[in-house]
Amino acid sequence: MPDLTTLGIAEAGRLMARGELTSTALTETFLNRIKAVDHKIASYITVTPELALSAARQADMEMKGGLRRGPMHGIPVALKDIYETAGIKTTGHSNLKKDYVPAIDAETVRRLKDAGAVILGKLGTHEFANGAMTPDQPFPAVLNPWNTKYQPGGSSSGSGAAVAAALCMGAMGSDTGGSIRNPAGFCGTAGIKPTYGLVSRCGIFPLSFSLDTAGPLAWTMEDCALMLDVLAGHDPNDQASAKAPKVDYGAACHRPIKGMRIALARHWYEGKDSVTPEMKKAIDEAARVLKDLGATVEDVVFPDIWDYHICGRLIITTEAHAIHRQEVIETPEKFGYTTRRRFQLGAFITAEQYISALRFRRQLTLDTRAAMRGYDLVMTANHWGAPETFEEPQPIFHFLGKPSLTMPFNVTGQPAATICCGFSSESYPLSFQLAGRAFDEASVFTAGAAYERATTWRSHRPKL
Amino acid sequence: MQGPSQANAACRLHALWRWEGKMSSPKTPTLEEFRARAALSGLTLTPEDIEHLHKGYVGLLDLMQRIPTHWAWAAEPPLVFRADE
Repeated sequence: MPDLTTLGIAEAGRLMARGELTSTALTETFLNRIKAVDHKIASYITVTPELALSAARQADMEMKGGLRRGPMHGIPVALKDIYETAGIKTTGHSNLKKDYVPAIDAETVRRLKDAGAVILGKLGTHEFANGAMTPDQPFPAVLNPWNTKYQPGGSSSGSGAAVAAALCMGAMGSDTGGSIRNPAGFCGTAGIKPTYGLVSRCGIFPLSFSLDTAGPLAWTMEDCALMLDVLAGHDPNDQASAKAPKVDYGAACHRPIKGMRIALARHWYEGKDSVTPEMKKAIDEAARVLKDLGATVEDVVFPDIWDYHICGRLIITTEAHAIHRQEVIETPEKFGYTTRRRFQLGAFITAEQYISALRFRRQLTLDTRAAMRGYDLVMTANHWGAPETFEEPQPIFHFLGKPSLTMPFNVTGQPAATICCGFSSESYPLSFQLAGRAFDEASVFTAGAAYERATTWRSHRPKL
Repeated sequence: MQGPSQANAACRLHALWRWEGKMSSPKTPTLEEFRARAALSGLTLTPEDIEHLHKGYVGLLDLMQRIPTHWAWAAEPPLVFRADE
């Protein structure tokens, strides 16, 4: 039997279906590993061993009786701690919610449980999916498993770190300006921000209503696809939820990419602001692999990266302030020092500025769609280079430096995935993004999974 | 595949949203001016908060020059954003 903690979701499912592996054994292995190594990276805020083992035994009983709920049945996963979980603390990594116990599960948690997934616990996050991890918060900062001097990226920091460190088979994150793709990139995992409206946000702490999305991080694109298969679907309790046709994302991972057309947004990451030479080389090589697999990859000019960056940032700043205004006024001292100021800043944005950003968003969406005409996917860098190190004090307004490479697809609402494409000479992961048309996650999975199968990067794991 | 009527509608909307140029730089507030505005914000702010917020606001204003301010009156923003509209 191989190391159970590095099995893919599909492979673990096959072993369970054949009776060669039990969910209980798999869950115990993950719980033991969490106990043994998580203190080195602090990815979990709460571990729920009794509940996990109980769910695993239930899954085993069902499978033994011939009931197979699907590929997530008996699979141990974990949740960013902004997903509400019935009877389990949901803290948002904040003093404000450190004792909050919801009564019901978020819709996505309900869907995972209905699919038979086993919830191992709750994962560290940037405070309310926005502030940095600072010492004035109630839980330790999550560290990067590749090298603990580095930050894991955020805001779904624990999700990226736990998946990379083999402390769960998949994790839920959220992405408003890049919060799934940043930790996926810095921790060397796969991750996908689905199309805005594809996955319910009901029961997830909001940051910015018109940009928030929920999605999975896992070791491979196929694992993300299997998770998204159970997560996607209309939810009448989420006003932005779309009625999109059901798609088999797991099957999409096994389609050929011959004939696929990919627009490379090179000017976003090789202009005035530029990725590291190692990142550039790795992305060039990834483009070559995709071409060898039969895709066409061509440089295409999109709107300026700074346009998306400020558009998204202005919307987030304004909406986040509106959401957190009452606490920011009444108990500002309970926020971490970066979170508080990021939430306060929105008080100075005028209605006209906010509406201009929304109008600009529609224009950028149309212009992006026009630039993508004739192409199935957009390919670009995921992040600029090395992860940040831990230094106090941390920058309050991080967005005043380089533009975010992930923000364009939050602004346009398109699906975008992060795919690892190597490692730097300092051993941190390198990665690129693939984005599809709205609700065409299938093409993203097809190309991403084909790339992963054609390369060896998925055989590298951090040593803890 | 976009039908002709949809394409026309999209073009018409697009034309409506053309702006007359990037916004002229709004006056950057001094720390004193910003402090006066902060006093009306309803927020409880320390002097250190105000200094940080001033820097953040000035930085944001600078970036906001990229956003057009002169829009056709009919350029309705998405009230509930739909990625597939």
